[in-house]
Amino acid sequence: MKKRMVTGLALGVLVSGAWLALAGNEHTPRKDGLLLAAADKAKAPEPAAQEDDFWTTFQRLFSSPEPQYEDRGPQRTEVSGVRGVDQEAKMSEKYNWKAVRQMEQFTVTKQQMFKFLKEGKVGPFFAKKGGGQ
Amino acid sequence: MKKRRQLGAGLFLLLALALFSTPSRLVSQIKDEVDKVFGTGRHDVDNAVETGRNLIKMTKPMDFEEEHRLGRQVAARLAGNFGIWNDPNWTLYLNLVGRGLVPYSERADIKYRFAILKVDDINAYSTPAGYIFITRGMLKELGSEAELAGVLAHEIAHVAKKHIVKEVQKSNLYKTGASQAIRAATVDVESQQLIEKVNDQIFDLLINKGFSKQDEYDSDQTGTLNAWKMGYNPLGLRNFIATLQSQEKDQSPRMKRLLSTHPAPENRLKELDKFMAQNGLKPENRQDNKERFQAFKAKHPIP
Repeated sequence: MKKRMVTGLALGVLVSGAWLALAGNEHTPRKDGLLLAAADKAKAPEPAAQEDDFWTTFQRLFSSPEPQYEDRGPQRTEVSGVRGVDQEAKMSEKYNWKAVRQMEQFTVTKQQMFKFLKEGKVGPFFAKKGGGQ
Repeated sequence: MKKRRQLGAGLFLLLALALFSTPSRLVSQIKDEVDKVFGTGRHDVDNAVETGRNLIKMTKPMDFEEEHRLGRQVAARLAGNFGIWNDPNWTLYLNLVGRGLVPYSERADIKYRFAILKVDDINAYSTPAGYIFITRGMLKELGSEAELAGVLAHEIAHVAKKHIVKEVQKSNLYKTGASQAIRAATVDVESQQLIEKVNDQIFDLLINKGFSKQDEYDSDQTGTLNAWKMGYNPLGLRNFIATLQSQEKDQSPRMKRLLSTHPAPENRLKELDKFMAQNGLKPENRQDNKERFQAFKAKHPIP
């Protein structure tokens, strides 16, 4: 009896808890009181349309510290290759973490970017002559 | 006894309701309280909480940490299998064009990184969270900076629109717990197998299957729009696709993978032309920077 009661309560909690957690999920858009859980309905951030925003975005993105994740890839215990991938792609057991870290650590200074954009007349240096957005 | 049971049940209900949105330390305290009432080792409670969490996970979008961990793995795999061409001049050039495009993307809140794969195939790849690769063969084939910008903007669009993430989320693998396994500090054998499968799924998508036609058209259009916003000739990507079309009949092995994983160039051109006409994207007053690109190529020859 006690066990059945607990199981029943747990089921109730499961549904209510899920509802509460979803309601508290900032990525979950609401529409007329209905919860739309689909991820792809989330509103995309606005593009940096204003040219003044270019350098702010550039600085924010490329001056912030890198998240530290361990270099952990699959450690296959099988030797039969990649499941579901054709013969040609079975080459795919190698991981180059050094290359990934190099990509992450590669820096472009504001001065380099400034010179490049100015010389190429693009980005903030693009003069809109009747071509506007 | 009955009163105690009712009290316990009420307490359990109130406390368990909070389980789903509370820190793990508090969850542990709540479980202790439940144990006091119902006795220790109530697996029903643990199971209910776990099932509830999985249920929530199935309906929640993949968060950035998961996306980043997956993207990193697949990037390491691409780099490991194709090799990286570490030419400092070309890597800088690529990053200048690529990072210059980022503020015009609809997802300008994540870092994008660019590298060159040491292969003669003509292709470009992007992994979740913004790891973007272009092949050395593609660089050889491109004729202007506007074309390079178009190709990079196309790849940025795949990331920004989360095309891979959405494919992964649709799969049962993700729903059955791969998500938790990806984030876990330590993983058991079963979790490890799930991660391997998700990783295989993405790699297979990039190398063999390709994105859906609609995702490719979407990236062509968004990429062209963003390159245009930055001031590049919107025909950049179009010109490159036209080059593909002109060489399609040659059956060049360098283009085999690109052509097999993308819609027919003819259809891509048709869709892109329609989009540019509808949105008034014209080449007037936009930059090709062909001279700069060709001068750079001459100064730093691609082997």
